[in-house]
Amino acid sequence: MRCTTARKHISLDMDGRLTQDEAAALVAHLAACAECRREREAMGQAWTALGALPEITSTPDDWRAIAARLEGRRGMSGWLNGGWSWLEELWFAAPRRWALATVMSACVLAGVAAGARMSRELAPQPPLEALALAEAFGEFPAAGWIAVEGSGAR
Amino acid sequence: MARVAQGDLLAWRTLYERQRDYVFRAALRFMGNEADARDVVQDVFVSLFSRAGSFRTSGKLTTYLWRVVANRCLNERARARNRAEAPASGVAGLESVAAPEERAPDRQLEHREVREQVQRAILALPERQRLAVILSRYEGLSYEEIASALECSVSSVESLLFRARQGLAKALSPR
Repeated sequence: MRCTTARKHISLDMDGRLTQDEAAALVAHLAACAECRREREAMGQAWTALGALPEITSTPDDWRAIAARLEGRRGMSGWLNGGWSWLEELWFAAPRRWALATVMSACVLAGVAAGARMSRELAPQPPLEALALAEAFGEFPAAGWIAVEGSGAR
Repeated sequence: MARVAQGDLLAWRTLYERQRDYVFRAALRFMGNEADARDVVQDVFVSLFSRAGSFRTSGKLTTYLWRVVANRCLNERARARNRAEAPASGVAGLESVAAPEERAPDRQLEHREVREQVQRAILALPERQRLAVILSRYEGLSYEEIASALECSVSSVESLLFRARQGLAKALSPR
């Protein structure tokens, strides 16, 4: 085993990550290589020394700051998403889905019908003079309207 | 997490109370000072709760949480570098939240010097090596869990820990 491989295996061995064969090969190499033995000792001591850091026993409670940030995010996105959330919730409530679809279809049909009626009511009416002529002579001007002189109709 | 995804504030608070200790511990060891560690903790939980809807129930929460912690720690260090801030170099940030000493005063001083040397050695490590050491040595995560947190392969974790151990051995060797 080469020293470069042995040193990597020293690190793996510290975490129990070597197979039996690999561990045996490492032991054999360390028995013959003083430099790698020193490396193993130094790595082991350094890893143990990490335990000198104090145990952290107290955690600050920053919940209020976190909640304030979350409320800020919800407020900003609420008017973008929240306005339609009731519709989304209603749609995905399965038992109501068919009822909702029926109501929406009825609304669309009612809207179309109302629109058609309004378009007839709002359609441009012939001027009063033309209506009077039609009543008098029994016919309605076919193309356009007759402009009666002095009536102001065009 | 389902209640968290629905924006249940009480669920959020409960999750925060259960998870904040180890998140703060890891952030403090990585950042080296309490103020930066608290910023990281807040970022972690705001990020977690904001994205709770995309959390897949088949995944492990702690696995996901460690990934968020690792990302936030690395991002915070990157921001500090951009602000040209020097990393914390001592244990001063740990004293206020550490267990009280139970040694004679002269031993306390000696021990404090050792702790400062260790803290400096950890903070001198490259950031991904530092994270790997913290997650392995202090939080007891396996190589696979560290790989998931750092979003890398297990062989990358092996390499990170190997290089970290070499760096620590060099920094802490007696002169």
